[in-house]
Formats: sequence, structure tokens, C-alpha cells
Amino acid sequence: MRMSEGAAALAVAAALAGAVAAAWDRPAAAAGTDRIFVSNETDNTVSVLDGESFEVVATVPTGERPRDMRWNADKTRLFIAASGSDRIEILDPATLEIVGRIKAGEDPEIFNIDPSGRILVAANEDDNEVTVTDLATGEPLRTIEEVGIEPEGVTFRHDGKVVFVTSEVTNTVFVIDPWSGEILDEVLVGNRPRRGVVTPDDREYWVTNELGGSISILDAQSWEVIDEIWFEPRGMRVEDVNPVDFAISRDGATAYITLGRARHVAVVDVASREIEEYILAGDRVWGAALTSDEKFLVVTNGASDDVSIIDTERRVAVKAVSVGRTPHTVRIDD
Amino acid sequence: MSRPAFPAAVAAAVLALAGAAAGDESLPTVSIGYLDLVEDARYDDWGLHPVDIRSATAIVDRRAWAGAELGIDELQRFTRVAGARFALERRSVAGSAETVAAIREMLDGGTALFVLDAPDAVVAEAAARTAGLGAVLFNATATADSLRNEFCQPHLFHTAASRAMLADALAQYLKARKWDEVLVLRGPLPADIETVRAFERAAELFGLDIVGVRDFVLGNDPTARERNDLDFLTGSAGYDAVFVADIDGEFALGVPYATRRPAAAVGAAGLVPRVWHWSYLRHGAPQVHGRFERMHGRRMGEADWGAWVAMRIIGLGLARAKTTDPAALADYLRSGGLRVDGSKGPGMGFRPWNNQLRQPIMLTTPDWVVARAPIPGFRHRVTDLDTLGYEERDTACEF
Repeated sequence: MRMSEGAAALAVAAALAGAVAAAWDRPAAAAGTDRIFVSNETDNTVSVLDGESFEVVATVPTGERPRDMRWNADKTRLFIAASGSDRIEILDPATLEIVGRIKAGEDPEIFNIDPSGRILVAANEDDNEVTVTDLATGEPLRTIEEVGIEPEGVTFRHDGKVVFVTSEVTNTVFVIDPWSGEILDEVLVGNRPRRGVVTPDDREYWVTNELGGSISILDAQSWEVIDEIWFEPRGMRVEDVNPVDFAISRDGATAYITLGRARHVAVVDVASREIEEYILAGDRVWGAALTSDEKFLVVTNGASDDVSIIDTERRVAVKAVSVGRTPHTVRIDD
Repeated sequence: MSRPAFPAAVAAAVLALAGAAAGDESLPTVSIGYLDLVEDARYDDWGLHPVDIRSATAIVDRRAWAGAELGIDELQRFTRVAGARFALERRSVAGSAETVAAIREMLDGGTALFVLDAPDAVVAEAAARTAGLGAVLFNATATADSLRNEFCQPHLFHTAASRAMLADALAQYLKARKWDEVLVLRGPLPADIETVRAFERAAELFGLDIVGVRDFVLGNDPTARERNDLDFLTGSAGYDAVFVADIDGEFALGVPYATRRPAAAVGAAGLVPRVWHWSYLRHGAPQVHGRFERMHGRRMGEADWGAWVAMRIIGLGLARAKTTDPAALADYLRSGGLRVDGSKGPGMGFRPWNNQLRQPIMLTTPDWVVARAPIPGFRHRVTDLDTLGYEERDTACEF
């Protein structure tokens, strides 16, 4: 079953390799589509919301189990990990057509694109591998094996030289040179590390510890653990606090961290590392993205099948919008 | 697909090396001993049947060793961070005395960490007779409450849940469903009597009403129908649920849908409290099932989980405590600092008063996890996991 689907994907990828390359030659779009995209993991769809009204305006069918999504540099293409179909699909956000597919190993879950836009790095959870794909051809360049157990979060340093990959079961972060495929180091962090973010100045790498109710902060250059922030929303037990994903303001001043079953988003001042606020969201809040004016934070609620629209100035959720089942990741083009 | 069953006919000690220490040879090796019994009644086939009907799929080896094998495989990927290589050596022996002898011999050879897959009495005796020798024991499968109370030992840690924890989980669920009136059917074995004791304690704690305790026997004797016939055993009483204490398990199979009143069967059949079930789909459990099934070609059971998580605790504990010394590991585990991910929700650590691993309990049918205890609403002042099992204030354990 998997083999034949994989073979089919291969053929399609080969046919569409030209289209992918063409996408990269396009000049930057003048204006965004003003749309919000939400992957629905159990529905095999992406919900498209209008950026002004926050209403669902379209639902796009995808491959099986769509999870992480990432933009190309000018936001003219949205890459969608269709984990169950063992491929990454490429969506045109204007026409809402799937215009290409690329390979990224089996069961790609979380992935990222290097700042220069040349390679895509994906975690392959069941194989304990990381696949590096050449975006010019849509073909894998190399596979990095023995990346702990259940690799998940993939985060580039902004200089593009290293990528941090979390390993959920070994409670570690792998520091990888994606250009050579060399594993540079492995660092013990908190329990069940999930996603990461690098501060815009490239000095710190923050990683969520889903089972620890905390984030670990590493020096992004030496990868030493330098601090840990614990989240304890009032009335919550530590076992209910499951930090997963980040959104960080462009100036690097404010980080938003989704807290899973605790149904809250933590707002942290990056410089002082102080928790400024807990904002109420939906059940199992995990994916997060900011609008480009940073007036709104959109978060996916994995267990209540909706997204919350959060006013970042007032720090309160102003709207909940029903999407598909198990909304995973949100990305915004505005 | 499935592996051959454990050759029960093998009388002599069996020695298996699952993981020769791999990795950087300059690193110290942490040796882990694994002990089980050649003949363990808990893993017997029933013998009367051409197939072992206790397994849903086929005759399979249900022993915890398979979980330890997954554990050592995972520890080999933990070498860089733990600063140590890991080796696992299995010995299958005849009984308590041989278990103690094996521990002593392996201690002399430099192995101080042991995972035990043995019945209650063997674990109790092995722990009592190895106190103060520097061994650290992990009990992966024995559920006796006495091991966590009067027979506790400071060097004995339990990844298996106690009978009290299993009974408390069930009692919470029954209470939440308002199935308050419970008829108890009790088997003839000592473990059945202890299981009923644990359930009586749970009923008292959570406010269930036990309407009667009736002793059953397995058989067809027409003069003993009041003890072997479910019509008689479950007649002339009012109840919402029937709790079956049957460590053997064959009688219990026939209880669901065979009671005189429409009532839920719970305990040894129907809704069964377990530490692990292959159908659990949250908290990363599917990935663990996947790794186990790819390695062993069968479902991952409770015993497997107990041994697997013991191996995880050894690796993570050494890395977090930044040591390769077993005594320092034991101190760290007792300090309450450890939080290990067993893929069933919260990070889990040991209760300092009796070395019991705090953990959620699954309430399962043969093919589904219906609920996970602690059931929402049952709260504890520190961690809700302490609504399951003996608390600090009522433990009889003195280290």
C-alpha cells in the first residue's frame, strides 16, 4: 500500500519538479491573499479563512493527515506535510490548487525551510530520521539517521548553518548541520521536547517541554542549556500544562507559547523571560501564528476543532471559528 | 509473525544477552540484570484448550522480557546524553532462592541494577534477602499491596501498579457512573482474596456499596452450583456491577452478559484495570505500540510496559542525575525529582514513602481503553495521581 503510493508520489513529484522550480523564480508578490490556512489532521483538508472576517471561505482537500505547513520566502507557495501520504504538497494560496508534491521521507510531520529557501528539512517520526530535500528538484538530498526516537520539531538558526531537531522520547535536542548531514551534538532538555523557535538575533533557541510544563532555553551558538521557564496558570496542575508551539514577534520582544490541555497561551517577555499573561483559548491549544501586523494571534485548538483569534493588544480571545477535525497548524498570508 | 512461546520445558537457567554495550568504548558501561522464572504461573497456558484463549490473536509469549528488549534498544540511542553505554543480561531461574543467588552473583560481576518479572512472593523474598548489598531492583509485574507496605524495601522500586491502585481506578469509574451497588465474586487463590481486600478498601474510600462477597469455583459439579453457576452466584441480590477477582482468569471470561441482572462485569473481565493497553491512542502511545510491534510482531501488554518503563527510568534517571552510579540513581529516584514519560499522560515519578511509580491506570475492554484514571473530578492536594493507591498517611512502609 505505502510502497505503491510512494511510487505514485515519486512519479508526480518528477512531473512537477519543473513547476516547483518555477515557483522559486517568481518575483515576490506585491500583496498577500489575506487568508488564514489551517490544516485539519483528521479531515485531510486545509480550511481557508478570510483574514478580515475570520470566516471560513474554502476547504481544500489534501493528502492524508495534513500537519505542519510552511511558506516559501514570498508566501506564494504553502508547503503542507501530508504525513499519511508520505509527501509534502505545495498549495498556491491564491488559486487554492495543489500545484506540486515533493518527497521528504516517510511520514513527514514537522518540517522547515532554510532561510535561503534551498532545502526543506523534515522529521520522519517512525524511522527516527531527518530528511533533507532539495527544493529546486523536489528530490531528497540526504537522510540523517539515528536522530533519537520520535524526532519532531525542526528549527533553523537564521544564519541557516544549523538546524535544531527535538527527539520526543529521548528528551533531547539534536544539533545538525543540514548541509553536510553531520550531527554536531545532542543536548538533554526537559521531558518530551516538541517545537522550537530561535530568537531573531540568533542568540537563543527556545524549546517546549510538553510533559515538563516548561520551556528550555539554549544558547543558539554553543547549545548550552541556559535557563528554563515553568508555566503554572492559576488553578492548573502541572500535568495539565503541555507547552507545544511558539509564535514570536518580529522584533523578538514577545513570545507566545501554546499550553495544550491547559487551554491557555502564555505571553512571555523574551528579554526578561517573565511570563506576562495567560490568555484563555480552546482545548489542547497547540498551533500558533501571528498576523503580519501582529495585531492578532491565531491558535489551533486540537481537541475542540476550532481556532481562536486572539487580540494581542487586549490579550484576549475575540473569536472562535469552527474548522475541520483536529486542527494542527495555522499559517497566515496577509 | 509471532515469536515462539517461551520454552517452559527448559529447566536450567537460561541466559540471554539482549544488548552488548554499543557505542563509544571510552564510556563506562551500565549493566542491567533481568530476572524471571522458567515456570511462572502468570504466563501459563491453560492446557485444556488447543489454543491459548487468553490471547486475542494467537499463542504468544506474554513475558515482560519483550518490553525490556525494546527498552535496551532505546537506551542504545541514549548513550551520548547519558554518558554511558548500556548492557542487558537475562537470567531465567527456578524460584526465590535462585533469584537471590543470581542477584548476588551478578552483583559480584559488577551488575547492580535489576529488572524483575516475578510473582509477588519471589519479589518479596528477593528484596528482603538483598537489602543493603548495593543492588537496585525494579519490580515490573508484581502487584501485591504488601510489597508497597509491610514488605517494602528502600532498594525496591515498583513500575507495576499495586492492586490498590488498580482497584481505586475501577472504583473511581464506577462512582463516576453512579454504579454504586457492587456484587463481588471471589476466586479461591490467595491473590484473589487480596484483590477483593483491595477492592473493599477502594469501595470504602470512594463510597461504593458492596452488596455481597460470594466465592466461586471453576467446575461443573452439580452439587456445588451455588459456587460454580453464574445464575446462582449472581441471583437474589440487587447490584449495578459485578466485580470479579480471578487471577487465573478462566472463570471471569464467562461473567460478562451472563449475570442475572443487567450489570457491568468489572475487574478480571469486562472492564479491566490495566497499566497499559495497545489500543491507547494518546500521549505518544501509538508510537510506542508501533516500535514494539515492529520489533516483536505482537501487541504490547502490561508486563511489557512495566519492563520497558523500568529501562527508561534507568536511562533517564542516570542522565538527569548526571551519574553512572546505581546508588546515586536510587537516591535520585527516591528524591522525587524524576519525571519519566511513559506515554500515558503526565510525567511520572516515584512516591518517596514506598517507591511506587505514580501513574494513570487504563480501564479497558479487550479492544479499547474506555477511560483513564484518575477519573476527572477525583482530586488530590498535590497530584491527582495520588488518588490511586496508598498515600503517605496510610502507608505501612517504613524504610
